[in-house]
Amino acid sequence: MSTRRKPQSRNPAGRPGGAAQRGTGADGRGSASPAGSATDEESREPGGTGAADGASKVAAVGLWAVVGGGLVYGVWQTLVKVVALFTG
Amino acid sequence: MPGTRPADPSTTRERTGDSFMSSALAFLDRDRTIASPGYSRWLIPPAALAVHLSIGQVYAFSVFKLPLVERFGLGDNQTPIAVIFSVAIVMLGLSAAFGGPWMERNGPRKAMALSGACWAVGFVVAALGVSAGQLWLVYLGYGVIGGIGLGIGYISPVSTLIKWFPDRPGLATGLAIMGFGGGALIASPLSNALLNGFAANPDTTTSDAVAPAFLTLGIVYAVLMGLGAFVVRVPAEGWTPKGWTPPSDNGTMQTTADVSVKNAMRTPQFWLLWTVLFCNVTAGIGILEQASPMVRDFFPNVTVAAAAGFVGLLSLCNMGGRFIWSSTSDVIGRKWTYTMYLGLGAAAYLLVVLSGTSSIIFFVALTGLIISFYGGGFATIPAYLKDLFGGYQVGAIHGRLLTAWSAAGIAGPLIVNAIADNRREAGVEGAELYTLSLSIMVGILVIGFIANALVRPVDEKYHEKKDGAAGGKGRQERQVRTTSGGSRTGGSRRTTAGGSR
Repeated sequence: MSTRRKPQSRNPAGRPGGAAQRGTGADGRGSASPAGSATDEESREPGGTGAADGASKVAAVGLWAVVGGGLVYGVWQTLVKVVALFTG
Repeated sequence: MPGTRPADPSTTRERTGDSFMSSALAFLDRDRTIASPGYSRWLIPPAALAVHLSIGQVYAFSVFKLPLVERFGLGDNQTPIAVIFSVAIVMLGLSAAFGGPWMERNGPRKAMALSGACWAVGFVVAALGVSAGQLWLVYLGYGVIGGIGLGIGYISPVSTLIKWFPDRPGLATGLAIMGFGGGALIASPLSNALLNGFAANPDTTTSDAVAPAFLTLGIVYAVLMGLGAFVVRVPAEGWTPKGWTPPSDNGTMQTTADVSVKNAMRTPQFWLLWTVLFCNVTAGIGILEQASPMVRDFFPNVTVAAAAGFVGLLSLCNMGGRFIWSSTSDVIGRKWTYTMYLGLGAAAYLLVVLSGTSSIIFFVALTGLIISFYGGGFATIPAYLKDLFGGYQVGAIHGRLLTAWSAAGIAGPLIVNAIADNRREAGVEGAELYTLSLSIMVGILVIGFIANALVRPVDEKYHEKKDGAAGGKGRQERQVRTTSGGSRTGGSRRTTAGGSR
């Protein structure tokens, strides 16, 4: 089984959190470049353009609904128990 | 064509299989998670929440305690079952501590996928153990394999969220880590419903329902965490929030430099924050561990149901504190936030000792505040680490710091239980049982308060050295020789001095 290895050029130092992955600029001070100003086109492409990106956005919105609904369910169930503290 | 042989179908299948596996694994690569321009950062928190809500189930494990005791015929001896939870928490600490650098190298999607796989497989193996009556399989499944999923899952979204929310790291990490508190709130009623549902048949008992309940939870969490891994994205190079002005030399304690996990552990700041987290968690666990009997000892007329309500209220405070206080830290600064957790926390503990029995509302309000600080302490620490060490390997540093949680998980219950048992044997009753242990907690919080007060910006010698040459090595880790006083080469980066915001 072969696994595709990514070229090191994306993260030249071969270290995690290289500039390409950091929310701040190369100087670490959060250079005020515009959103999505990646200069390495190839590194941005696989991230999810087109259909994959669209699917991801739809999934994220759906996931908001799922986790939000789950939290509401959990909080509600707990509040039902908490009422006993003041009525029991 | 002469000499050409028809393709062997089995070889073709193998190649197709390899290709599929390669594609699947490549999909998990860090490079495949880079967001395209215009990708909303608000699509990232649900991915983090999906992971944390799933692994937060571990705090609802007690739901399965009695059915498991019955299943394995342990009678009154609950300890072998309690060990399952302990193994999982120990593995959480170990995998978070040692898996952090791997997670930083491989990115959040691979880490979340691994975490989801471990967590789900852990449930399946545990279900097999329950079905076969083999307790060691439950230790291996839920405890060891699931515990690895817990640790990797806990730290996996943290650095990603901090990169997406450099302007509000406290809010972002608070949102995710709130999920860990919320996970138990969901899993507890869900697990009870599953146990009751699978035991609905007259021929089955609740203990028979454990295995199918574990399997169901494994499937649910695999889907939820898989979705989280699918959705998660890291920002592209140079991305910053619109209109955000990066911190500058304005008297705050937010560094613009980066420190590697290796160097971070050589700094006094790391160990001061370790102490801060240890003290805050120890104090919180002191109440959480004994919440139900404590409220009944303080107020003898409180019923069992009301005590359960008190525990539920503390769970809500724990969850709410994670989001509210961590978000507040973005405004008042991390150091002041911990000053509040530890200073006000100590004062609240002292009030419980001095006049906790005067009013149940007063008691509930004080303990609720303490537990909200406990939760807030967990949620704010990643942002504090980011302030001091930068975003470079903050996830890995966070993983190492979580060993304080493991240590506090042993110390907190030990202090409270040992002292309460000792006092009970001495014939002491009621609130007096807790006077000494709560007073010790005040002292522990004061130690944490002092440790927090001592936190200063990290010395430049620990900062990552960078050269600006394009195409060159973008970053070189400097190994600081602490024995020789450290190297001071480079050091063009700066940490703003001047105390906390």
